[in-house]
Amino acid sequence: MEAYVGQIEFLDIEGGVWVLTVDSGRHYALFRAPKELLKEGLKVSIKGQVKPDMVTAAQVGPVLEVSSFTTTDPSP
Amino acid sequence: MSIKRWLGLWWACLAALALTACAPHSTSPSYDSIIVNFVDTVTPVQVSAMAEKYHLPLRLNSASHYAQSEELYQAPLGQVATHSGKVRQLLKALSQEALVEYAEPNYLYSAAFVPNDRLYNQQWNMQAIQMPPAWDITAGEGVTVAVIDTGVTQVSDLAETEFVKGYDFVDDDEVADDLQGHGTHVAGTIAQSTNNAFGVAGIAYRAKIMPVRVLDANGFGSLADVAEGIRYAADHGATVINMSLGSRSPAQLMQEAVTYAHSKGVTVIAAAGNENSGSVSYPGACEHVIGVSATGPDGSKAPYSNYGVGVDISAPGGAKTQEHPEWGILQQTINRRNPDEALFAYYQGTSMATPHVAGVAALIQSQGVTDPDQVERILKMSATPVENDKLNYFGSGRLNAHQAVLTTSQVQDDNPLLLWGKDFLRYLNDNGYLSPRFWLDGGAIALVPKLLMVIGGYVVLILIRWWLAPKRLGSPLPLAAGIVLGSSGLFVLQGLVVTGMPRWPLQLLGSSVPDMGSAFAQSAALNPLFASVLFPALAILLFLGHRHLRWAAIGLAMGMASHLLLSGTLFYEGVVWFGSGAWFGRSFLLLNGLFCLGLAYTATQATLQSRSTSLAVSQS
Repeated sequence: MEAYVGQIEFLDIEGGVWVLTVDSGRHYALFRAPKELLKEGLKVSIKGQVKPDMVTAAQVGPVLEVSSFTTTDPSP
Repeated sequence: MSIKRWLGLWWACLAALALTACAPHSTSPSYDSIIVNFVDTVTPVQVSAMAEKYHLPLRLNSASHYAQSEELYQAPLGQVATHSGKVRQLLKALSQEALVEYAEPNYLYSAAFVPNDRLYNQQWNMQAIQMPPAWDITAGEGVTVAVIDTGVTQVSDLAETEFVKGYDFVDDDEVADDLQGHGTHVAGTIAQSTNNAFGVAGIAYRAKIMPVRVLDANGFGSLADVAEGIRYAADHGATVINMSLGSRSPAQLMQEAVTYAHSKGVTVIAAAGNENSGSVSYPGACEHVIGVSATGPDGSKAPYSNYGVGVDISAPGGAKTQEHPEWGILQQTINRRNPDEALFAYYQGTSMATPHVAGVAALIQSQGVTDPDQVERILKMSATPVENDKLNYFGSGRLNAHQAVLTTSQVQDDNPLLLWGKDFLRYLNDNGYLSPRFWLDGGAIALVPKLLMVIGGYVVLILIRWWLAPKRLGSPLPLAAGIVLGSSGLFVLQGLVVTGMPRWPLQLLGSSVPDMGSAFAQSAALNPLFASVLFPALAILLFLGHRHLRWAAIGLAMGMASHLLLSGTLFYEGVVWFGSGAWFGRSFLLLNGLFCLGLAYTATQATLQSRSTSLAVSQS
């Protein structure tokens, strides 16, 4: 399973959506994300899988199904 | 692809003929006078002369400053008004006069309807699409719009809106209530209860809403559920489908469902997506789907909106800022944290733009035009076009509800057979069959520079041949291929969209060598590695010894000389990494263009010499 590294953000699109923003600026919509992950500015490494057969209301980028995550910067 | 397109085209033209011939007459606004807008420089004497010529008692429309400065006149029609054909002839003749900007029927409005909904004044989007005068003509009576989304909850400001039975594909039952808020907001834009002295307005507020739930409480769903939802809606009487949702994957399953709905006469509308990228998401980019991009209150593309191939039209989707949340789209929906509580919320997204188009599609259908291709055509031809839209941010333009219902009325008033001939050409044009935009990447490739660059490549060839005495140059085919590759690339290929196939191979094949460095960048700026003498120099070094390939390499240098000299002068679009100062980029391109020219000249000379030497050697 691949690791996705970036920062958690809440985008004000379509009523609001939690995403992982990676270094390239690309957003991943977080599917099955545990509550502890959803903190604005949290820097994380997420293990998960991109789900190409999923449809979203937010349409901000690929859907990333979260299996597990670790924080990469303990400060925020 | 092309055969399929052409078959579709012929099918559509037969269907259009059949449908225009039997289209029912419907609500169309009445008029008993006409409006003539003269050019601003017209003199009173000229107006009197015109009045005499057409036997029209022209007088200023009002004493207002506006009417005077705009030279806006009106004239009662008297008996003529009963013959719509004569009025059309009259308007046509007037419009062709050099002194006349336009002449049109002066439709009778009982002062454009302004809904009494308390928060209506915050709906800038309704003004943006010219909704009030459209409401005077129709509010979507008799049309059912399926909202395939997170479900729809009948909140207080949807209480007077008619609902028909829907389905919940997430939980597999018939209660398609919303647990997220998105679908209720979208349904509000389409048919919020309007003129009920409460809340906000909706576009086609007399249309019926069919809630089809395919997305869960977090806004996620499966392709399979969406496809099922589309078929359900088409089978249960919906004639408009709104899909404010999307996926990155061009699933065959989805395309088949959409094609099925289209074949049953359903107009399907979907969002372009919110990645600010040049690739529209699916089903927005599917065939038979009207893809919608989003604009902000100033009419420009919303920062998040996708664009490019697949965008057919744009509509307000909002562009909020920290200081201006009201630049979003206001509708009533549910509180996501407590689905039992309703609230008014400003949302933004291409999902918000999509129901504007769905609402106007319902208005068009309520006037009697139901064929989905014709509805799409009216939406596109009535949209306000946007000049110089190189990256296809706006499709045919900005949605205009008033023009859409007027156009529908005119389509209905006209003689169907005459209309067909006239509109068929227009249809071809509006759908882009006649315009390069259909064949090219949403207008992103400017045709004229490309053609000039190829021609320029041949001019270089002719010049070099002239300089080097009239000898026949070798291998015309590799030479031509080289010139095309260096100057324009097979740019027509970039416009082809094959559903299910990634875009990059065609994008790459369709690029000339100088363009390749930025073929995927969605930017017209050139990459200095590719847009330089480097590649033709390497090609000539490698292939100078080969009988045919050397001519391709020389052709490449000729084509690139043309490309770089033209890019550095007439068509300068910037060079990446060079900063914003144009002089450096221009000098770089011009210098390299000259290098290419020199290279082509020297290599041709060397080749001709070596040929004559070897000829001399073999003769001796």
